[in-house]
Amino acid sequence: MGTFETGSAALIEGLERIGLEFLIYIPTAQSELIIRHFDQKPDVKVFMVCREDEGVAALAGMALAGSVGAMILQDNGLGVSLNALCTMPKEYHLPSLFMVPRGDGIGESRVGIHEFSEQVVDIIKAANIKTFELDYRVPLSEWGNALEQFYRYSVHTRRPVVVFYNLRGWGQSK
Amino acid sequence: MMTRLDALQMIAETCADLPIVVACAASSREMASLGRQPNHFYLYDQLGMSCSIGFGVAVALEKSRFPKVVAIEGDGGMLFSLSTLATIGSVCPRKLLLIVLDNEAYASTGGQVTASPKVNLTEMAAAAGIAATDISTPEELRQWLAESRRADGPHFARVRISGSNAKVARLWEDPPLLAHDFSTFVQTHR
Repeated sequence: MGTFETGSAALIEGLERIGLEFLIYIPTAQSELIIRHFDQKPDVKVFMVCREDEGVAALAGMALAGSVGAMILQDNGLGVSLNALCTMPKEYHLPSLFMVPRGDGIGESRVGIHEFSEQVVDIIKAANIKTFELDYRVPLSEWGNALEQFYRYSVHTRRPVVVFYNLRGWGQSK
Repeated sequence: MMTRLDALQMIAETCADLPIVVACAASSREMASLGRQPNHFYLYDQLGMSCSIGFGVAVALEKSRFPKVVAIEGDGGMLFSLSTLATIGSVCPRKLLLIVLDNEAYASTGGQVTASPKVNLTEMAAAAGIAATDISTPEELRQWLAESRRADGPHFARVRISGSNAKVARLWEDPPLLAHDFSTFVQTHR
């Protein structure tokens, strides 16, 4: 069984494996350790954007320049960024990795947004954007490797991928 | 008063060696009408995204040989993504030149007036910590392009243009092809 810390470490391992150069984020509590880790690394530029759609477009610019980037955003933020996702990296065939902690699910029920968050995976799938999910059903030992493969998939298929993850589905209260 | 086409022609000529991200709709169509170039990234319907895409390119090319990266936005697009000014001011990509072609209207959808006549985009950019200026003449634009190219940015210019669109052909290229050409240019010369 994983913990918030070991799950975060596995995702960090995956991002290290892809040679991450840029990490864009909108703050999320579930990604606190990941952001802090890369913020302390001099070879990775980490910065926050004000809105999700801004970040999607900035990440597209980085992909055009041939850089390796990823963006962390809350799952309800996919509502804000759906147009940007569909009309920029998807329409222009740009590999892009979006890391999205679940705002709804086992261990993470937030009554203010669950009406949207419950449906968000289906919404993204309906938009024909490739999704992957990492949670208690995937052995934690495989998360790092899986995340690397998800990124490679994005590069090889030249399109955005959204990786949903849940670091609070193991019974911890953090 | 300059037309959009006048301004785009000057930018294309003076920045022929730089990556240029061009705003959606009329701006991209008119820029492409001057001759499609691999250093130009044309947007179709992505309102307000050229400033963020240009920001991303400029951040990624911080250590490249390109002295600058140009992002061209319209006033409607800039107003649509005002938060990007805060991000640019906060991250301070020193190679970014952000040019807003301001006709005070959504010219591509019937000429509806934007908020631009009542708010000052240049002061907003300056308040975000970006070196910002107003430009009204071709001479001012030429001088600003030359000077800002040599100085660390980010730089912002609001260029006043007339309201009409040039009658040019639509752009029908497949978006992935546009991305491929621009990306190849950038990665070959970076």
